[in-house]
Amino acid sequence: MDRYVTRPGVVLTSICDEYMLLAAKAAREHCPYMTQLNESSAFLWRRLEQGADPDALEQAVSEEYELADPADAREAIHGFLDQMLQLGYLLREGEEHEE
Amino acid sequence: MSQVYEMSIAGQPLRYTFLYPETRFFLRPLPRRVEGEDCDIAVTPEKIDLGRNFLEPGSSDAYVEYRCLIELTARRLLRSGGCIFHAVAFFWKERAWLLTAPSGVGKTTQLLNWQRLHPEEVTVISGDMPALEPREDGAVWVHPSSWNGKENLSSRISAPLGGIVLLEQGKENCIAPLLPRDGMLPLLQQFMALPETEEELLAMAALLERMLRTAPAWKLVNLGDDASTELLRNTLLADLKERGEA
Repeated sequence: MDRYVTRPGVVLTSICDEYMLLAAKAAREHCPYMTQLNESSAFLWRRLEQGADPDALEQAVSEEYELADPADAREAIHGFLDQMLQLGYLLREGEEHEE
Repeated sequence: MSQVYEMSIAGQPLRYTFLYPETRFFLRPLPRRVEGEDCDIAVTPEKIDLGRNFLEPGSSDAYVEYRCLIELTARRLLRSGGCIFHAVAFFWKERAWLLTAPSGVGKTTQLLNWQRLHPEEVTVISGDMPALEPREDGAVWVHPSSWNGKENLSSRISAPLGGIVLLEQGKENCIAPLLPRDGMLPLLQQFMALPETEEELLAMAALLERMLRTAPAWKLVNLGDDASTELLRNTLLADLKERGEA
């Protein structure tokens, strides 16, 4: 199973209860300067910063949002991970040493 | 040895050295020569080369350096929580109001309309790039800077932030409160700093949060005509009255 790490230099910030990813100079070579996140995406990002793998994300989401089955969140989580990978905010574990 | 000059921006004395001696003559008020070698801000030749790409061909070296100083000064101000913001700032009803939008959308048009329709009501603080300063009491103060746009509109007035208006061109005039969800991205893009570190990014975000927590914000979709300016003025007046501050 792939594990993911947040790109160094990318920070999650909250402005008036709205969430934003901001990229510092070195990170901007690989990802957009800023991107808005909704609350559930911000929740996932925080868990990723803490080192959660996709299984742990499913578990965390099901607890946070009181889902009966953690698998119910799988599609949304993988959609988020794919999008963040595509934008360059996330790296597959190990890739951070290749750049 | 480089000569060091000092200029106060947003209440902060900042020390500059210049690659080109003529650069300081673009700055207002003129920076004054100070003793010592330590400086806060200096443009590198590499920055000049990069900056030239964003300016009209034929711009003088000194002018390119003057423009490069904006970003460096904005980033330096982030250390104390302030920044330079791309907006027209004007003084009205004892407060500073920011009209912000990307270049060419009509910030100056709105200001000039207001001055023509209601002479002596408003005074320009900065025609293009006011400096913002968060104060200990929670307020954000708006100050003039040395970068005042093509029309070179400025004064020496500073005031607490009264409100923010994000302008957008449209086919009819319409104004509505700007929700943080809708305003975050366009407003963050109006800060003149391009942060290099996480600390600078967080300082910029904290400043925007402070601005939005302490002052109302609107989005004005407009034609740039007199009616749009009256709509804006009436909306701000009504809001001040509602808050008992008119």
